[in-house]
Amino acid sequence: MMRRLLYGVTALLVAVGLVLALSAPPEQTQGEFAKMLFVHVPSVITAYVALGIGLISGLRYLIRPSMAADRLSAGAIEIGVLFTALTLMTGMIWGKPVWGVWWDWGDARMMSTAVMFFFYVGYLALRRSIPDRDIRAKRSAILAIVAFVQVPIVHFSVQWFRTLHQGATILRPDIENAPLDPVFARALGVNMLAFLAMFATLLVLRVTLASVEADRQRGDGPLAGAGVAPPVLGES
Amino acid sequence: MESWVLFGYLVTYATLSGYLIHLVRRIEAMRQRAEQD
Repeated sequence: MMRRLLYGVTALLVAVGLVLALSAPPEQTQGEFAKMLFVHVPSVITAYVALGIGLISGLRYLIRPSMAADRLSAGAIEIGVLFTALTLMTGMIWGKPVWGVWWDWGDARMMSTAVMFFFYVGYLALRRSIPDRDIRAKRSAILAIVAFVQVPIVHFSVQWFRTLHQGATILRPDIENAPLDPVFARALGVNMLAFLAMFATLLVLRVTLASVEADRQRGDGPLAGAGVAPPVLGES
Repeated sequence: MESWVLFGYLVTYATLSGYLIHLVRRIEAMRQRAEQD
């Protein structure tokens, strides 16, 4: 029942968000290209939220180990990686017509986001490299906590370094002076909610999949090679 | 509407829909396998 409500609300928010975004008037300097704002900014905010849930669930696992916390942390981070990839892609698609370049190797925001993306891809690789579920969960939780240091670096990079990328439009200290027209602010707000709802939907499905897979693995018995004892030095 | 902007939206929603379909199909496949066993 709750799931159906979530799926329904998500579909509604996505539909309203798309209508508001695509019907928004052209911006004064960027024209129609400014509409990339409505997918680019929600993508990065959703990535922050996802990686934040990964951090909190990782902490919860270390304080009180449970497979549910591990599955939530891993699921949130996997989806966070997806939204970080979307942030990079939509940023490049926006940057090409507005700045004239797909990518700037000297830009603090672009480079810190790319580093964060590859750091979290490393997290996913780590999970796939450890067969023992308890060791995997513990090491993943530690990495989920350590990796989160990237998020404030990405967010504040535009304040610390003046490079190509513009400063923060939202989530800024002087929010009352945010340079956003009310029409744009409304479309951005609805799209933000739509992206967060999409994240919640994907997370519910990802955690369900992880639970179904865990049930199946328990039924299959030990993994291949689990019965092989490691060599021990000493007298035979 | 700029086709470039539409391309950006297409990339975003195609990626998210693709991942959603991937998850739903994998859950369905796992459940079917569990029923067969």
